[in-house]
Amino acid sequence: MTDTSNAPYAFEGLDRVIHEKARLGIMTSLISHPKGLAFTDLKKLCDLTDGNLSRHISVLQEAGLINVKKGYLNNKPHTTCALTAKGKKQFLKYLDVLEGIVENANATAKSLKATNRKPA
Amino acid sequence: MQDLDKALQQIGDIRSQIASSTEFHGFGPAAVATTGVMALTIGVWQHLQPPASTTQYLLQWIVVAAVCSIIVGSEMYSRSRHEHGQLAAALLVRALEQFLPAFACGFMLTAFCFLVAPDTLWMLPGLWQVCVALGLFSAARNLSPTIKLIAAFYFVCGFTVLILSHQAAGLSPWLMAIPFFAGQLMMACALYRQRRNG
Repeated sequence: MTDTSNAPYAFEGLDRVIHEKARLGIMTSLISHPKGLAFTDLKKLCDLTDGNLSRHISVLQEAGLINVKKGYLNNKPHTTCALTAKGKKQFLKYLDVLEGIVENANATAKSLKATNRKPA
Repeated sequence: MQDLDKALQQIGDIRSQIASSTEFHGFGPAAVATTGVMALTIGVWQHLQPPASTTQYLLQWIVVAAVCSIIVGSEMYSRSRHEHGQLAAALLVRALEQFLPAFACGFMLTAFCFLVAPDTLWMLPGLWQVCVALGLFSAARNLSPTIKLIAAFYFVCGFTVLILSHQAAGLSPWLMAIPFFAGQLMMACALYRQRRNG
């Protein structure tokens, strides 16, 4: 394992599985719906095609971040996805790292602005 | 820089959204049961050594309520940090937001009865129980569903106590001790079951 104490910009906590744009959208949609979301709702919320959504759902499922339930509703196939406990934990960890990055960038931007304002 | 502030705000919003749909595990069954036992103890004590006046009766209960709040509050703080990790702060704020209106209402009613209308002091035990019921109804969404039943119990008790204390000549210690002992023990059982079921 690499030592990150001397590499503050390594961002080890940014999980690659979650960090991808479409998967981040899926995770964010699911985190506010603890009972899960139907495949069609997720497709609309994340603006993804059937194929793309299926592919990203498989990646998240393989990582143990989401649960997929396949069943029937009104005699039609009905797929629902929900976050697992691990998925929720990982997403909160991801949010913490992301918040740290934005806070650092914000502090740097503010100090640069203050330096530029000082008269020569 | 405004974009960065906006991004931080959005991350905070996402966290609050997660908190709103998360069951709060900050209340400890043991601490809640202890408050019930304390209510029964003070009831027995007041029965054996009746207070000299209604004011003294109520002041003793206010002291017990303050001690119970400290016990439940400090356990809530430490437990939520242990149980919820990164979400603890958001969940604690949410719990306080839910209980604060009922708590403020109880506090203001107490101040009103003591300072403005001392002839209505007999109403306080019933009104306190109604305030507890409203606080629990408000927090029930983030707690176990059984909490709604306990809130209903406190609500019914509150109005029953109002009727009984209106009919009686003086305030009986049991008007406070029995509802709070039974209510807090039921809540401790509900919290224990919630904890066991994960």
